[in-house]
Amino acid sequence: MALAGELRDFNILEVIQLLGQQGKTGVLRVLGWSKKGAEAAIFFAEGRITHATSTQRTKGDLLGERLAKTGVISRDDLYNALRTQKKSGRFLGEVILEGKMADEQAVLNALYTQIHELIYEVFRLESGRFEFEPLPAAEFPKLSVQLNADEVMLNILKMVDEWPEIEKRVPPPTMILQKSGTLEKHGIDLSEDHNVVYQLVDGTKSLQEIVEVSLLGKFATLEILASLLEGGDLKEVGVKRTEAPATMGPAPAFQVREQRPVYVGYGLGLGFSLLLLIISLWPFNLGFLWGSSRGEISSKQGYIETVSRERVEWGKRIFFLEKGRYPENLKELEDAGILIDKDVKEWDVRGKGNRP
Amino acid sequence: MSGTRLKSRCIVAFLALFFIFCAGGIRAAEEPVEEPAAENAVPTPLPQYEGAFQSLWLQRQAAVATGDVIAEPYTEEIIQRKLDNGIINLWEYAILLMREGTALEDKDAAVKLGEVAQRMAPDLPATYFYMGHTLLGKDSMGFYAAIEQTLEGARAFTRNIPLATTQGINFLYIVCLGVLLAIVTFCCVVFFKRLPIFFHVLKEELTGDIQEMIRGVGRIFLLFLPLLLHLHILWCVLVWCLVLWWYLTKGEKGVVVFSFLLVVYIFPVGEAVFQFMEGTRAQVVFDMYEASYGERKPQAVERLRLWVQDHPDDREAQFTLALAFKREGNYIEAKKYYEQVMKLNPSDASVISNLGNLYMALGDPGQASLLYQQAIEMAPQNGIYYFNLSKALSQESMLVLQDADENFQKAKELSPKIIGDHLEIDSPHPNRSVIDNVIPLERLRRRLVAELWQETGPSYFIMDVWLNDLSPRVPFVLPIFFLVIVIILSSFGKARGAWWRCSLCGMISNQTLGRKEKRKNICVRCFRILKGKEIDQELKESKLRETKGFQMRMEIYDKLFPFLIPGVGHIWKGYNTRGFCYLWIFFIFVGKFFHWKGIVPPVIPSPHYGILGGVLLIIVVFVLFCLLVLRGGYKKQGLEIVRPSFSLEGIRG
Repeated sequence: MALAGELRDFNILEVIQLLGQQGKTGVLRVLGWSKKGAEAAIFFAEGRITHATSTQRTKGDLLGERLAKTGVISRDDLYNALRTQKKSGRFLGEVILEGKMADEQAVLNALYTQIHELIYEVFRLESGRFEFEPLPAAEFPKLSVQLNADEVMLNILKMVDEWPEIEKRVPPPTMILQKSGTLEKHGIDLSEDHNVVYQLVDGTKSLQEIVEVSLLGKFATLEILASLLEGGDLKEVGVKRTEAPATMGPAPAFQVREQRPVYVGYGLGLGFSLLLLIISLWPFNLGFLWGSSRGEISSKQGYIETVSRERVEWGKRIFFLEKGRYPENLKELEDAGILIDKDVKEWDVRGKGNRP
Repeated sequence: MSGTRLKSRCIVAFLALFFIFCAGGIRAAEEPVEEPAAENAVPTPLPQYEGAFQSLWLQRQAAVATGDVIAEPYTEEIIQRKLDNGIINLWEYAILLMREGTALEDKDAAVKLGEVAQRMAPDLPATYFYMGHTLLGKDSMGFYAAIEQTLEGARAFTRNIPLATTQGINFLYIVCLGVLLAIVTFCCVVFFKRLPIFFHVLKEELTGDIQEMIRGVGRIFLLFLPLLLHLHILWCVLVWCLVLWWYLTKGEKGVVVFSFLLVVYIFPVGEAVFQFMEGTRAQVVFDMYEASYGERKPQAVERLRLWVQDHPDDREAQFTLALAFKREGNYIEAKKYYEQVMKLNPSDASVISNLGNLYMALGDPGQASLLYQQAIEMAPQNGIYYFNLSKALSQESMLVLQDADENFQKAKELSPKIIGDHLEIDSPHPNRSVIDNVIPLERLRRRLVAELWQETGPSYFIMDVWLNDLSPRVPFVLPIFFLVIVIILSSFGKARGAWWRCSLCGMISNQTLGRKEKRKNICVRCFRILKGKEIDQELKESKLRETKGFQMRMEIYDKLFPFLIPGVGHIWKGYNTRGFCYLWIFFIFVGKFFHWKGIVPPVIPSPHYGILGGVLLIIVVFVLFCLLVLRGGYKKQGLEIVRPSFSLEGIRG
């Protein structure tokens, strides 16, 4: 095993970046995140991402299904291609292109989206492990995209960063969209990607359906739809009641938050804080460091007092030998410079003992 | 100068510095105090032999009154009597002589009195410090002699167990005080540093749904919990750090856990030490020192006698008691105790030799010879036994004089220093003609530590300290609770989606990192700007404005914090361990300045607490330390802040 580790310890993007920088050829497998046998694989050829597969994909996420849904190939062609693939064990994309069933660029676009979405899914995993296994170049699909690892990483980060914002901007998945006609009216040309998505809007498809038939993938499609909606080029015409509510994004952590009245929250928090503050500060334990409510000071003071008493005894003897009489009080010892103020002050301050 | 000598001088110099620090000032200040009760001044009974010293001292005082400031015959007589009584240190008379010397204008006479004081109490450090000051006062260029005296004073500290113990406790107290203050400061700085994240999360939660709002209120509750529980300030700051646990770096967590262990242990260990020092077990050691090396005060001997009654297996106490009685001339009691020790350990050569000395005092050199020979058989490398044997043989018969001489030569060969020192005070007096074995200082020191360990017990350090309830309002054991929380928080770790702050723009986020380099985290947007991939101009501009504001704020903090307290700047910039150590040292100095005269005063009230140049040295070292740390704290680059690689000029903050 060339490289292995836990997703808990390493960000998968860092691993991808490392493999890209090192120009590695092989397969990065991510496994063990949910059910037994769940596995995703990202293929690298000389540091560039060429292909990605997963055992946990839904039917709609599969390349063939995606191509069929978008009308790039017919259902019959797809059925034939799948049969050929089963017999030969080769990659579906290769089979489709060899059979001249679809345009190469369309297949590559689908692959591009598929790789990004798969890596995004893998990136969101919180547990699991990864293993990188070097492979000979011959085992790679002949048809493949060549994605720069850094570029993929930046795209994923962009998705992560902007996904919450896009989710806030798009309507619910069951919403039916329709062209407002402003673009046609003013003769505005859209960019290629925008136009592809725009053409999918026909006044009957829901948001969810548009995303499914778009080859650009969920993120890009929703981003474009959001911008078109904000620009007034699309409008909402109703909700498709027959559909079961679908979730648009795979991001439970970034669910759109229902707007709450902000000041109520602040007010409650502030009030509660003030209440706690008043309760807690009265009476606060001001015992600092060595002194505390449990009387830690007592042992120290007890010992100091013992030593002070002894010092006083010594002091009295010295005073006697010097003056020929015993002192009348401790002040005399202090005045004579035998004791210091501390010796006198420390007397009779001993508290209760607190043996450990 | 040979290597060994240089090394020993270095050690002595280190000890001198240590005691400079412990002892601090030059002279104890005399401040007016409130009038204490007169009953405190009741005189204590005098020792029996004290009468002779006292009488001589009064005669000397009369002579001093006539103008003879030294009155040498009387002081010499006191010293000889001291030696006759087997007393090593006469503390009080040495102090009296120093007090006289301090008042004298004639520095030669003051030096002379100092020399006598040193002979009176060679283990009293103050006599050497006094001499250092006086020599320097006499000759302002006499630094070498003054420093030599100071170093000798430091050596005397190592020989004087009670004084060294009190100074050691003072030192430890100040060190612990420094640690505790450093912990409070460290936790406060860390708390301040991580509080923005806490508040950001709080804001998010309070503006969220009901569940999140409840979580936010719980967060506020946690913040006030230490105050509600009336926890000690140290525990307060530690709990606050625990509340911010997930936002702390590994280094900060490490220091917090280390601080936690220190807080758990310092209080109970301090308690244990002070209680031990107050108890009988420590007192026995001090009484053994007093009986063997001090003035042999009757109270000390009486306490030892009572201790031995309760602890008949304590050989060291019985041995000390036997020697004390022998030196006082109470041979019957001395013999009783020596025999008891012999029963406990028949193969102790020092006891056998001392018993021989007792027989010598009783006028039985024959029996003494037998005992010395027995001691030599057990410890043939000890010159003292050969010396004592030579004395016994020379008294026993003229016929064995040659044997006596041979033994004497052997003694000189084996223990030249001890025999040489003894010959200086050798006289026919029973306490001076032979050499008595005294319990070694090293054994007393070790016993002090062993008694502390025995009294406190390992279970106390392993179990009891963890079971303390630290507040009357906390019904459970806080240290264990704290530890459990730390373990739980650490085990769960920082979950994906935990909050962190961008090192470039200061944005607080729970989204994924754009880039991570050691402790520097970059948010996705900043990363895209750095990579030149951000095409949204509006977003880019707002991010740059944010970055400029954050960088300006951080620059102010980076320049300001090093000047607050030495070490704070380091902690702020991410050098946690170093910052904590600087704080610790700084607060040790502060503790020393605050408790200048020490927490526990020296047992013997000598007029000089400190040594030559102590104050100046401490102040110079303190100022140098502060300047160096400030410089370091100011110049160091922060470990958590990324300075932008592009210019922020022209950006409106």
